[in-house]
Amino acid sequence: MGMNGLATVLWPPLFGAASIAALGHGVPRRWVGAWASLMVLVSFVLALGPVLALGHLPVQARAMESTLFAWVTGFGPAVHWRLFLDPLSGVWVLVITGVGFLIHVYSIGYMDGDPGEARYFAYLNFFIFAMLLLVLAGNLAVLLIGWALVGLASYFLIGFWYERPSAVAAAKKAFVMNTLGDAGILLGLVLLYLRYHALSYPALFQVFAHAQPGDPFFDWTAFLLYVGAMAKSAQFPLHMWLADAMEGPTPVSALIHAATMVTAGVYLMVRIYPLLRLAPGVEALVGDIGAFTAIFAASIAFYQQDIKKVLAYSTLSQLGYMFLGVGVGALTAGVFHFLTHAFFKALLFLAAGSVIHALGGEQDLGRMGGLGRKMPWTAGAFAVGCLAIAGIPPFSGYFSKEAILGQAFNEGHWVLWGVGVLTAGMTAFYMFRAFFLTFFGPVRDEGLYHHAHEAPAVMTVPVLLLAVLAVIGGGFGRGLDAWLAPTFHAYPGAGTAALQEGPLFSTGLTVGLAVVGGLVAYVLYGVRQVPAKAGTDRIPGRWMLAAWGMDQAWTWAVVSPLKAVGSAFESAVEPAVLDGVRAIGRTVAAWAEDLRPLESGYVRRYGLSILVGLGAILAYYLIRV
Amino acid sequence: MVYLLPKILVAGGALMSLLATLGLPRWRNGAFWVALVLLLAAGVDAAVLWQAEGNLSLLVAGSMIADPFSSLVDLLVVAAGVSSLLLSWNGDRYGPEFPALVAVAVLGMMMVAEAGNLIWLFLGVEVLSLPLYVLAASERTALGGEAGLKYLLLGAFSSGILLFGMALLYGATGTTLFVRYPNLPLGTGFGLYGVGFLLVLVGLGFKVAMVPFHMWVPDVYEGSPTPVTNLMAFGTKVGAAAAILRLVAYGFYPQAQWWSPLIGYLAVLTMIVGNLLALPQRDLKRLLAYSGIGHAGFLLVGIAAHNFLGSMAAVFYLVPYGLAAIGAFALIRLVEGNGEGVQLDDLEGLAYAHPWAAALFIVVMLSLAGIPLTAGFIGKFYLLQAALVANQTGLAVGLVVGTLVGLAAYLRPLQRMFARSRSERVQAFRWSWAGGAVLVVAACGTLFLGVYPSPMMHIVDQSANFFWLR
Repeated sequence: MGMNGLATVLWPPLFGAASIAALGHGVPRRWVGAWASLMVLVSFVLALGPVLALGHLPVQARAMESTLFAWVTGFGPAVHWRLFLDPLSGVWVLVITGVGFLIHVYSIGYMDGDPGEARYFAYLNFFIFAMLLLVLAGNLAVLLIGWALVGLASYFLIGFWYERPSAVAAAKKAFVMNTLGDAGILLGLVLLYLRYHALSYPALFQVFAHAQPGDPFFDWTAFLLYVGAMAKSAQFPLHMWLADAMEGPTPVSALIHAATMVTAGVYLMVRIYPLLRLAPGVEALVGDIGAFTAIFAASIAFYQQDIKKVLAYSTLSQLGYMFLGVGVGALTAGVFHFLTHAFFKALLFLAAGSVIHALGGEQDLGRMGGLGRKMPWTAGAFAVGCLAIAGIPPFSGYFSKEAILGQAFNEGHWVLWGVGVLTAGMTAFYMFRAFFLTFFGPVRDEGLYHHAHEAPAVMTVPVLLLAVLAVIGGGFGRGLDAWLAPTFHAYPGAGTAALQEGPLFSTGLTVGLAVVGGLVAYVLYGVRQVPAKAGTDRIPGRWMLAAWGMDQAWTWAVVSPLKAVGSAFESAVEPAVLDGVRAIGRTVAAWAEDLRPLESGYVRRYGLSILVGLGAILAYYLIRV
Repeated sequence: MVYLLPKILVAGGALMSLLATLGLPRWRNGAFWVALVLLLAAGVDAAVLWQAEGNLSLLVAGSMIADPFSSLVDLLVVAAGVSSLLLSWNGDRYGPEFPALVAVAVLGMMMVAEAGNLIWLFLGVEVLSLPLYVLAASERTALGGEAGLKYLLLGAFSSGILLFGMALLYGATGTTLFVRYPNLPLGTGFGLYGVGFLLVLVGLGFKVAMVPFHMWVPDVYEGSPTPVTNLMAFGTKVGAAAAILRLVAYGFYPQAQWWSPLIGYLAVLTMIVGNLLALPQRDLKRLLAYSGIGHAGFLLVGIAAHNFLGSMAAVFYLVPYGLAAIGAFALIRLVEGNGEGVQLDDLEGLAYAHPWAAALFIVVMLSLAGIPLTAGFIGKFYLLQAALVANQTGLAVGLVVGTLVGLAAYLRPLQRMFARSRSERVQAFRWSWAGGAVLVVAACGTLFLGVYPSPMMHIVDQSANFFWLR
């Protein structure tokens, strides 16, 4: 396959990032955001071509490849810089560019007046490029490059306000934890390369299609790739970075830490389904950890005081659902939930961003309240988001969550199903808690309330568009099922990928629990107007607020021992090594000084050197012969 | 005769440039432009010829070998000539005949690479050397005169050795067409034939700056004007290395087992001494001179490996080295301004005064040091691979040690650049478009080849296609 336009999708955001980085300071600030948004829109339009063309390809070969160039040559089989588009990556490409465009537009309003506006949009465009590279990658090597670059973009954007020590610390934490995952993917792909001398998806999947489970090799490679997914998608126990990542600007949280980047793990796990078939243990682990992350994060979200933290933990919880879906073989349902989640979670973050913007940066739920009267559009949009994430029909989240839970039940994963159902009720509670604390009840801070105002149109319109998508997104299910079917029919391992109907009582129970959760929130925070802090002074609320102490646990179990080892090396080993190295350096420098007088500047000496050299060469042959 | 066109263009450039200097004073720039344009035309033509040529063909009764290798070398030496001309931009002080002499030197460099005949080879060596003797002394400073005189005396000495070796070879074989030697029943003994080869090798080793025939290099590089140093560092090295490769590949390949250990020892010696002596230098041009000596050693590694990978790696290495060298000399040219030479201390604060120039300079210096993501790393990697495939562990170890030592030498100027001193010694300089362009092209090319070497590898693969190595 030659030029089929795959590469052209990548260039606009990269060009945007480069042009803004180079020239962004000389132009009016408004232009920068408009330019960056335009680049993403162009990318979206360019992506439509190949994605639509994909639909016209025969079902057996519904994929496009485009090799840009041979990249690594000279060490055995070449690794190519290869792009690949199939229905699965097509979904991601459209969401990244489509939702990404809306968030870019929103950012024009949100970041207006920030001194780093140009830098912000350069980073944001760079992120879009990296994320597109990740999902358009045609082999694991290119995927890893995209994977690392989105991590880098995330690092830049979390630490965007670099004057804040907390933002810098959060960026560092996210980067370190993600690097753990990068290492996992790197090891996994090296193992695969060493064994099969190939990294491209079709080549590997062809091999997997003919292999049988039971070889520990498959368990190891699948597990290593899963570690990468775990870090990027913030699965327990590598999840803490995502809550801290809220230090970045709110649109960043919407784009990177809710809608797109954190779902890269879901993408990878769905992408390698032929490998998961060979590693049933890892597949089960994916589902188990997903379910645990879902309920664990939901419990933490109960008592969070910061509106963005609530949303961050809800993202964790919803990612858990997606992984649960992948783990029980409900691949389409997992992708479906990614899709609806991209809509409603971006919506929730952007609406929250409007609130934060209106309050001059205040994120504490305890100081909000009554804002519904001042920001009716935003409140309405947030309500739609809450209904969608809580899984109330007919909002989008209902359909996708239902698909995952129903299939989990059908496949006999009753424990996972039970955890998922319970989490649905908890989700409704904490989301409506945040909603009522923000928009209803008494005004808790007169000063902030007084200055609050509805967001400008450039922010409200994207929010409302996302709200529409969050309402109707559930209708995409059937179409998505048919769209993804060719991908899942290409190789064995996705026998249960298609969407399924769950039993009616499961639906009733889930929705019922969600309604109960929502009502409890309404009674507590809407009617009785309990303060946000209620319940955080005693166990278990205190523990839940503290995220069950996972940060401390990591510090105790990993960080401190590593630091101790580091200090030990620093005090005991390093001085000795350093002395040794310095001694070598001194010796070499001394030799060099000794040789210098040879260069005396006398021509006769130079001529002598030539003669001596010639004599030595002749002598060498005389002796040797 | 289409094959001669690049040479004719270059020769024509030299002559027309000379004519232009005779004209009205306001045609002074004409001498520069006519040489530049014709050199560029020769480069384009060489590129076209490279694409057109499939096989080797012998011209002038075997004296000239027309093959992709010749065309590639033509391209490289033209690049050296063009970069030297650009670096001399606005440099009336080098004298009006400067462009013409550069073109003549480039012609000589083209000749040595294509020679299939000892006479032709010698002619090429002289055509390339004579203008350089003059150019070295083209600035009327004490150092310049010393450089020119030293180069002339030692060059004459080495030419004598070269010619004596050629005479012995002729005496032993009865022909000066060295492409015929493999067909003669000569054996591998240490007779006239062997001694003749060794003398020729020493003569060419002098040009390529092989230790212990390298002593002239630092003094001449330091004393010559920077554009001339650039031409010597890149052009002469390319020409001489190509001549050695051609000689051993076409004339002496049956005796590879006989000469390859010697070249191996010389390569290791050259790498280590060159890089070691680069360490204590305080003058940037002298440092680059020793770096050039060290890099001659790296090139010899590929020749000593005497396999296809080796010759490929050696030819490939000419490109990263050339790019890095012209980049470094371009920076020297920018920094030195109207002065002469750059001490390491003169670089203090450069990174703050001219961050872009500093960034580009960092790229080319790291390439000389062989840091990944630069072309230098790729080049060293292929050389190392060639040495290992040829089972020459000693060569590989020497290469690594030489690189290690060199790293320290290349980092020192960079370290000075970031030093903040109370008396900012770096003078704010004006970017000349020509010097800036050379620096930018060199640094970008270095990065490009470091990230994506495949196209260049393909070119080299087609060019170093010496039949005996397959």
